[in-house]
Amino acid sequence: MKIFSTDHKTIAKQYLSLGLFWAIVGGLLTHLMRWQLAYPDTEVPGWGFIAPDFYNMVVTMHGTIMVFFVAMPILLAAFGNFLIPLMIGAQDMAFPRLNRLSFWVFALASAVLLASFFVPGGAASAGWTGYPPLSAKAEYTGVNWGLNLWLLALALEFVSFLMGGINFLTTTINLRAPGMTFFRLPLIVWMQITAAVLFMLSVGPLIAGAVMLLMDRVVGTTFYLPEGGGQPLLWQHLFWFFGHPEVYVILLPGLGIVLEIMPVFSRKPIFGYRPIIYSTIAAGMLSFIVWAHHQFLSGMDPRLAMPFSITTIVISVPFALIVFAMIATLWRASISFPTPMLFAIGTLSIFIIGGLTGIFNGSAPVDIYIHDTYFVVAHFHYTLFSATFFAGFAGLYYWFPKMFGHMMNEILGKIHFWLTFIFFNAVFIPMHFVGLGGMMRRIANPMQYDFLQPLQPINVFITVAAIFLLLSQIPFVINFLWSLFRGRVAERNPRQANTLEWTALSPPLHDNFERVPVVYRSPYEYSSPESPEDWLPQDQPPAVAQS
Amino acid sequence: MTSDAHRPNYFVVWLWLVGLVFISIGASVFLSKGAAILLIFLVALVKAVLVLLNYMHLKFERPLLYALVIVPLLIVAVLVFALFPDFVFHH
Amino acid sequence: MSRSESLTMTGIPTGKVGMWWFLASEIPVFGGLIASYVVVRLGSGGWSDASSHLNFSLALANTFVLLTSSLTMVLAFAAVEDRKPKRLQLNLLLTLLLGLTFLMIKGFEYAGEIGHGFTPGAGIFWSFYYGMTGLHALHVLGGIVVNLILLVAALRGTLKPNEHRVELAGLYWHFVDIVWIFLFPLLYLA
Repeated sequence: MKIFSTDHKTIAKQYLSLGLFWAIVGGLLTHLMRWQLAYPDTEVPGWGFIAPDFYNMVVTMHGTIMVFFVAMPILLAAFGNFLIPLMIGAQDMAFPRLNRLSFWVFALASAVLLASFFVPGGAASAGWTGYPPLSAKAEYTGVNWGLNLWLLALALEFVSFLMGGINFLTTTINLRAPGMTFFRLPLIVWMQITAAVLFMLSVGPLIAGAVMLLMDRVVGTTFYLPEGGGQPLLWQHLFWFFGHPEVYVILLPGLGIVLEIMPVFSRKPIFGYRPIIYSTIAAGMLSFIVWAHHQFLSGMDPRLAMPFSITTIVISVPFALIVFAMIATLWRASISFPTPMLFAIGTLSIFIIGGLTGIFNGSAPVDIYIHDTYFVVAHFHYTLFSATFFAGFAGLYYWFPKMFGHMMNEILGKIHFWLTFIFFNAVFIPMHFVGLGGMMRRIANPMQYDFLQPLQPINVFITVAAIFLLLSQIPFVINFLWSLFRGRVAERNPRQANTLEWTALSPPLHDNFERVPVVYRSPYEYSSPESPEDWLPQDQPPAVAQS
Repeated sequence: MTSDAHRPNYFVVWLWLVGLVFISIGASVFLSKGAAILLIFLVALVKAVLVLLNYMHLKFERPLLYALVIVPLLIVAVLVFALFPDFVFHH
Repeated sequence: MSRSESLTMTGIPTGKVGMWWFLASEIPVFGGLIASYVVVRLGSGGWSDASSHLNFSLALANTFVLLTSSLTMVLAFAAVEDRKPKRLQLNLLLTLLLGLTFLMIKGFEYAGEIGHGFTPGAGIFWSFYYGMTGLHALHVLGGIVVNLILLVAALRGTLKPNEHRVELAGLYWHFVDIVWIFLFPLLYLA
């Protein structure tokens, strides 16, 4: 495998490796955070004492890493890069060298972020949201270069993903195989390109805002500093204008993975293919007008609360439709439960819970009480963890044979799923109650507050469950590494699925297909009356018509 | 690719652009503040459209490319509107 | 024939689709910065006395410089279509020189302003001024680098007869011109 390869499959694996590395780092930061919360001011095993400033750094970097260096590279860059050309019947992306550049810019961003841990003053500690004035002047956090490098790492990451987005969109628009119309594309491709469009169009204002923040820190401007005529609220608007579409950028590929897996293990077509597409597009458009629900308590004009509450409630409708479509797909199907399907159904159930708590958060009157509490943390972990990890694992277990030519071990996979599912809920269900009890976000020591002390046993419970959740990933690591070399050799289409990637070898040739595929039908013709089998590949020529 | 029949007269477009710059300056000198600002921004819009349609050949392109210009502009417009309460009708 | 030249399901050349997506993503970058400037300025009483310290004539000169460079850039593209290598080289060179002239004039402007004490920290107007023109200038610099690469290829004769890259570089260059079309009145005329 060439390290400077332009092959989209290699680049996908490079993104996957870097994303999994950062997932481990992000997970270890969880260990530090949760220990400090459960047993404040004691030594964290394997680390030592955690000062409040350091706690802020851990919280900041956990969020930054998980959103920008785990979810985006794995869900978008790795799965998108690997699957899009294969699923549309192309030999590679439209711009293979740009693709290579996008990975190496991301690698540079990773190096910059890693370096930020080791500079004097340490890494960024103003929250993953980086609100000024705290973030605008080094003396407020005691962190100087760490925060500048944080901004630089994010800027490089945005450049990398903009380049990737150009590739994904141009490829899907122009390089589809003959017969592959837009409405014969697998849903994950629709999800990836919608996510790419959302990212490309929403990141601009944050790039502008980040340039302004960096200038405040380094050049002496006062965009966000009140003493110079600046306004901190401006950052919040620019950040969340991107920040909200960003969560759908992460969510949509995750939903796409589930939408690919469910029909295969139900042997039944997707229910509502076109409504799902239209809902996705509607949700994408709506995502540009909900952002201020993150700012109900920011001091922004209160007249904005109602319109943004309304749009936020409305955006739950298209997602509810997609959820119902998934359930309808499973309805009366011939369901089997190998590991990918377990994780797919797990994604759905956990996402539903996250979506429900979103309704509470999105209504301004309720948000007045729960903003900045752990109720919000529970909400976004239900939505983001389901999209990133449950769906991510589902995708990895499902496409591992195609990516690496071996099967993963089913028993380890099932153990991994059940442990992860049980301990995830053990961590995050109680977190709702801790939040409703008033525990604020980003505090290093809950015991300092009298009114929080009765909640402390729950915090301890959460921490213990979190440690078990981290340990539950060990079966996955063992399975993944072992299967790479010693897993059973995979055939082309071990699960008899219809989409084009399964017609290629496992792993595919450099140019993917031995012959350019021609597409005749939609991707979800399972249990079709036109086929003697319970599946019907997209590229199989139709039977000769009876005269 | 633009054939001769499809090629704008680039020089004439340039003359228009230059002329419009002078109109903007004239507006800022001779008109009242409010009227000047309105005219100047309209002129800027016209200049941008001239460059888009002629130099960037958008006149001869498919609708998809028009969408790539219009949709981001709408998004920026949403941002501007939403920022009005907090920054223009302020504290 | 390269892959991106041969395949196109929509009939639009692949490189052009890619470049327009790139420009579509750049619109919200400058749009965000300009939107912030507009609302903060509208809410703060005008900043006219600050902006009166700007060097109007230099900026006007720069406006003509950039407009003319757009002309020479599109003439370079026309030269590719007409298969006139000498005309292509001349117009690329002129575009390059005009771009460098823009940066030089801008630099001279900055030097003057800083010399008078109008540094980036001198007030919120100046923060926006340096932010907007600085980001724009960086984009001009990027365009100059691309045009230089194309000029060198044109001089060496390594540009293909149906070379797409000049058109694509032109699209970027015109975009940078359009941003200045808005920045000039926003900063110097309002």
